Amino acid sequence: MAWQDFEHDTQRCTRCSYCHYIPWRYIKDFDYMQGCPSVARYHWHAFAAGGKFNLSYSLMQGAIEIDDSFLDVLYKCMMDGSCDIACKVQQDLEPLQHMQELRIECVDQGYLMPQHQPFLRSLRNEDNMMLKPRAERGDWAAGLDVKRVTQESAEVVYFAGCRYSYDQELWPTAQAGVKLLQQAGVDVGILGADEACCAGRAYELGYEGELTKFAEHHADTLKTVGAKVLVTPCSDCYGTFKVLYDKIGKKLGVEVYHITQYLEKLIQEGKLQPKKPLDLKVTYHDPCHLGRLGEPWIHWEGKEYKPKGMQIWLHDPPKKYRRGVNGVYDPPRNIIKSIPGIELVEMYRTREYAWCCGAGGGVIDAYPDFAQWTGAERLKEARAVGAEAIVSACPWCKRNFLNSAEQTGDDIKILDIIELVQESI
Amino acid sequence: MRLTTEEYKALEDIVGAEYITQDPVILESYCQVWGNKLEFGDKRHHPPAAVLQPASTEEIQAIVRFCNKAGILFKPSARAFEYVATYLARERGILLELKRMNRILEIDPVNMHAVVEPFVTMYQLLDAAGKQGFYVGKPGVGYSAAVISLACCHQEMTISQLYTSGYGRNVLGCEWVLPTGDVLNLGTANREDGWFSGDGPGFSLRGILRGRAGANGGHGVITKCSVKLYPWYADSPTQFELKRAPGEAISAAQIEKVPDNYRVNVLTFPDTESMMRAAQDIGQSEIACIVAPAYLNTGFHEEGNDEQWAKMMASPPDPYQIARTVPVFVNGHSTRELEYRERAVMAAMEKWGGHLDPAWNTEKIKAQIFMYQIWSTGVQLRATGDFMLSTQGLDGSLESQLRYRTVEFQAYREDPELRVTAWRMRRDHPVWRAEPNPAHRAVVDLERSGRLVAVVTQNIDGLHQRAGSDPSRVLELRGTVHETECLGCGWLAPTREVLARVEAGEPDPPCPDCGGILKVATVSPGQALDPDVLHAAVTAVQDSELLLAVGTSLTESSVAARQAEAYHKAVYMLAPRFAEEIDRELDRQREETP
Repeated sequence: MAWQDFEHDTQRCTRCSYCHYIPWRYIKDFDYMQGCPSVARYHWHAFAAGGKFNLSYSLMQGAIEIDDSFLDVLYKCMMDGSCDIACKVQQDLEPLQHMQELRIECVDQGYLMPQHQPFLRSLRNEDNMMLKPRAERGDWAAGLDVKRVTQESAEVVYFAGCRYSYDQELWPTAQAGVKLLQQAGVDVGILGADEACCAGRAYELGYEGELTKFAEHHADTLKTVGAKVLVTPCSDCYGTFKVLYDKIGKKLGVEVYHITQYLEKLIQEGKLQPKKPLDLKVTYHDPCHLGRLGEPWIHWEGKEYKPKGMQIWLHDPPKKYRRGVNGVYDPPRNIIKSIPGIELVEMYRTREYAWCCGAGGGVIDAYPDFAQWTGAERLKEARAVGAEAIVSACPWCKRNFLNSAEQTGDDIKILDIIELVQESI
Repeated sequence: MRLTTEEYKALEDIVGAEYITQDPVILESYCQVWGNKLEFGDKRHHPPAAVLQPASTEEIQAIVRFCNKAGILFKPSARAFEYVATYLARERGILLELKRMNRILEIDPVNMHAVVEPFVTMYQLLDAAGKQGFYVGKPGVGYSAAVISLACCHQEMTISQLYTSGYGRNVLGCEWVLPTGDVLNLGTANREDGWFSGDGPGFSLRGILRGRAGANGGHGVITKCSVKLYPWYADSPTQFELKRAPGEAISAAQIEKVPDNYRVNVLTFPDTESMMRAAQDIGQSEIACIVAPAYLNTGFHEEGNDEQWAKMMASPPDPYQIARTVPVFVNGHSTRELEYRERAVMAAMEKWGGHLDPAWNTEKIKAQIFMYQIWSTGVQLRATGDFMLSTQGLDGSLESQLRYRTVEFQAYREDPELRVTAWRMRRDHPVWRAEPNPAHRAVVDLERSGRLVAVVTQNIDGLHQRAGSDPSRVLELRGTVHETECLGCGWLAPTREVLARVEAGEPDPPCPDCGGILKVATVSPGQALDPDVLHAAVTAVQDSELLLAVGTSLTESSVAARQAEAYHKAVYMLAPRFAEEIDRELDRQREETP
């Protein structure tokens, strides 16, 4: 669908402002009722999803044009989908898809954000969004005794993703993921230097073609190496492989798992046994791309109609909306609960209503201050529920939390769930 | 129209650079509300010159005073959900978005009231009050609405009005920045005695503050307000434990049973008339906390429209049963009180021949009804897919729903059966027997005194003209029933002539010229207002110093009233029963006029 196809949504948005907050029913503490970081930080309605509907309608009317200010409003957004879930409590609209199409339109029309360009060049030239050489991609696994699937086959391909591959501080976690699988007896291998970006982030920025290109590349690669199962410790990669490739009709042709799903299975089967008690009070942060955005894509094509004489909009064929409930929420929690001694406390905003870490949608690159502010808000929330550590399941979340903590001087422990399991085994 | 650099700077100095914007892109998100489409034919109206987010009463006073000096229109807005919330009559106008004034200042459990700032929502108040054993009623428009908007600025009601009263009646004083910039405290707050009474010592101007319909931001800025709280006999609704199966939509989440100190009974009667009589008895005896039409109470909405439709098609609701069914809630401090009240409800039910249909009275359904009415966080008429218009079925009856359908424009054009029904109803309509009343005649007197600019009416009955008003001064926003036009070629004729054809056996008479569809020349839902008439009405309001609202609550979208609000015109509302008093007053004024 093109952005103009959402004109009816622009008309039906009632400005109820649900897109600003988590749904009323699920507010546990009014200090933590905000759902959308953009409007929370930048105040004006234009920064919320409802405001974007307004901007689209104004564009259609010719009242405004795409300019720097428009791009600033459009891209100060993590595309985390909180608005989408809250909106669908009240309306059958598609605010997130609408914003995605607006970004694609901007790129198609040549309205590019200068801040994004180095990352896009890096993607095109070096197959990563980290401004690093392709040749260094496999360095994270140096010294790690693991198969390279381009040389010898393995049942499971462990896909590290750009952040884990290039963020040296996070390498131990990426390596621990491999070791845990090996300990459980899984026949696992990596792509090493032959791995490439999933292109999910580029797609979120509006570069639709990149997603297609990399989806085809990965499908070819995985077919060549004969992989059956892909496991990734990165939630962004998971969301891209599982959801976005399906959305554009380029499914990978292998089973895709996030590592939390795989570890949960191994623990349940007794192949991994967290035994060592951890005396720690932790809270779990749901990564957007694993949670609400990790819900499988639902394909639909058809038309809207009103039954004769009735005031109700329907779809032919009936349309099922993605309301966030089928994301991956319980496996990480089940893993944490399986670790002896550990206490899991929930934050006020959890599961499909989780507050974003701040890294998504290109914000960590284009607006680092905003990304850090958003992360700091989450750390504050973790503190408020008495957690000693905030545990996530995505390297982007961890990186952004580390940046936020460094800036605010917060000394809360910031961990990935892999580290917890490793510690307890 | 942009503010001058100096004007912008002056306003920026008041609120700080972070909280003012004139960025054209951002302003576009402050000029699109759904009511604009009803009123002006397009959802987008002209944007404000700037939007400000003041943080205090003092800042608002400074803004208002500056605007008055500089000739800039201003309008406050809280949640902006109200349907013309962002509408400004002139482009040289600014919006004050009050989101930084979002605190609950006080919950007084002894005097049972709460003091709030403008951005506090009903849900926020429900949560805070509920934790202390109080209830605030569920707004029909949904919990996103701000407390002050509902209480002081806009027509709003709640399904629990029997028990929690209407929001406009719950005001116990407020802090009010008048259009002059002065602060007026109403009620006891004026003497710094606290906020427990709206009726003095001090001014009690609640009638002017809101009237019935509210001024929607046209009367200054309410910066604090004290509202009544009502007892609640269960855990706070915001703390209810909701159960839903993994993977189920949140709309599926439910409580399992009605709380102990509440009882819900769904009463079904032999017909709508007896249901209404029983509801009246129950209402007047003041034993129930909620009595509401079944179609509002039984909205067990599926997760989306398609699912809802599929369910309705698989098992169509019996509209006849819905039209004669009413859920009744009672509550009480004690089991004895609760049982007494429930017995009284049962007595009223038996008196009017009602019974408890077992299918509607299971624990599960009662719990669902309870939750939807007390606390569901959706709007009463769920906005999803415009499922029902608020103008539909106002009295809850099947007949009114059918009547609505017959005038919905699209349906009228497409469905010959609906047209047959419509012509039959037009033939039998009381409008043909209606006579002008003293209010119509008072307006004629006013016109003859030379003071009347125009009569702006949403009535279609032509009674102003019949009473003697100059037809050129009567602006009929919604057209007239006295003429009939062809939707194809524009052929026009008196409706009486067409009704004569209906009488003679043509159930849906076609156009004699082109064979097209005929329809009375009224503006039906789905049709746009005549832009010329609309423009004339707006001009008339701008040209006048005083707007008399005669015989209307202004609760329907009245263009003239909105304009008046936007221009800070004085609006006086005169109910029909006061028409004779107007007569006398006009006589007196005539005598005094040299």
